[in-house]
Amino acid sequence: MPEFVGAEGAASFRDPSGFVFLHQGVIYRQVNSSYQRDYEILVGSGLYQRLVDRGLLIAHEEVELVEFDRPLPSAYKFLRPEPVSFISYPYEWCFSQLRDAALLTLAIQREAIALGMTLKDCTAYNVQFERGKAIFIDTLSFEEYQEGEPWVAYRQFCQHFLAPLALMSLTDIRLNQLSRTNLDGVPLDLAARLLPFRSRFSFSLAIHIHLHARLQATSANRHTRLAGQGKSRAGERTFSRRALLGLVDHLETAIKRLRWNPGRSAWSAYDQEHLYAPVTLKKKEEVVGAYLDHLCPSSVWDLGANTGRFSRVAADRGARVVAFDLDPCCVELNYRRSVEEQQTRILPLLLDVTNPSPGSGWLNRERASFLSRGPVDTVLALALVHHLAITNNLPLIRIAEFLRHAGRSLIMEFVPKDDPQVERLLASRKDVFPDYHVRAFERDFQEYFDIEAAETLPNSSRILYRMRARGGEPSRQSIFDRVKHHGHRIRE
Amino acid sequence: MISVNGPGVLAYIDPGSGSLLLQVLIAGLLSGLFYLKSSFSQVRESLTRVFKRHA
Repeated sequence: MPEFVGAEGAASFRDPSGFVFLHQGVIYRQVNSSYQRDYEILVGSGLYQRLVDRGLLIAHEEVELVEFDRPLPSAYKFLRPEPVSFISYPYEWCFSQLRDAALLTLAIQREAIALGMTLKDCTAYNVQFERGKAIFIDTLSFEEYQEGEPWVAYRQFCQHFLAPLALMSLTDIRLNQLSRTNLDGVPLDLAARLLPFRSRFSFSLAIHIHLHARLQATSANRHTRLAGQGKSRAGERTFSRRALLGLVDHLETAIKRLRWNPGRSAWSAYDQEHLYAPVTLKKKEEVVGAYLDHLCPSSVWDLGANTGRFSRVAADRGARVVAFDLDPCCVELNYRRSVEEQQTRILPLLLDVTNPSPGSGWLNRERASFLSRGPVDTVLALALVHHLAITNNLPLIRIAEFLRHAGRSLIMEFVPKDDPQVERLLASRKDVFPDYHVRAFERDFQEYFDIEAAETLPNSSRILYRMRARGGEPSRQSIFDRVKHHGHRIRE
Repeated sequence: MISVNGPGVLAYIDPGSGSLLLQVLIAGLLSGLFYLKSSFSQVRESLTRVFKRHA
């Protein structure tokens, strides 16, 4: 019975061309017989090979598979695409990641037109990040180009890419979160309303967002006759190939013109300033490195990664790292640096550990929740615990439980109350944390982990721990089914 | 009302009637821009060639 896991079920069950499924832990894509002709053009025209050679489209192998016992649309072929190491979504991307995904989509459309094909959808979910770069994963998005037809995916491109990027650049960086609730991209009327007035003076935004929104509204009310299968008025080209290429160019210029530069936010400044004495920082890097050498993880999640200093310590040792941070500035700086370094092992993403991406979309499973995309070999939780326990009032035992579900081993930094950072957090509020001290921390974490090593940093009271999760593999069962009730612990 | 050639059988998403209409309305403008751009790059190419020869 084919399983639909997270993103894999997504466009799949809506798309009559085929669908993605999981079989014995491997992802496959069924190409339906209705898509046969377009698939043959994709391969025959050389478009597939051209895009794969340029690293724009995910490569696949054609495979033989046994038919399923359930009635399914008849299959023409089965494909086994190269696996993506970590699935991520547009609402987890920073500005430059979304921008690169947009430019990738347009580059692909341009290549497609040159070889007689066109993209029939432009959802941001067609793009993933692998080995540090954006890559297109929906092999069945292509259809034969019929000259004279306007681009059916234009609306989606504007909603998934142009509108959110314009909003992030001109209104507020946090507006990419609109993608969490609007699965088909930001509605254009909403974007038009939220954009500053001066956006109307940008020629491209005036047309592709403002005018576009207006026409969507008026067309919805009026009865527009669309000849379903019929031809356009005899011989008349309503939208020439040149117009389509002009449109792609114009959208590309519009995207490239949108800029965003992270200012000095409280967090990205964190990394630069001398919160750690140089000797402390150096020792921290050494200890984390040594712990990683001991654990040898192939996959790492760096929670609260900031600009990725310690993600790089892990990546240098060959691990694939996903570097999560709450601050869009940090994620942006981390990504820009990764691109400059041509880093292939780090994926920076936006994440609020206290409110991670939920499962959403159809049946709440179309887009996978954060935790369901784990567990990983090692979790780095450096300079994080005080933000969870103090700022967010999370009991240490619950933090331990969460981390247990995230990874099989843990490198954790405990930041005690006498640390200047914690003193700063407690400066303006009541100290309601009688249990926030090393003994309680170790006791609570030992419910879920074996503490293998601990080292206090010089010139500091912070302690770095190396821990291994207790018990077997955390199951995929919902964490809520297994939560113990820790609310009422008996005080010793 | 403008009668537009419907999307192909497998173009399963809703293209949006307003979006199709907009494209048709600005088609002339877009082809014009594209034509200008390609002429521009052609002119630039020939100029660079001329200067290279005389360099």
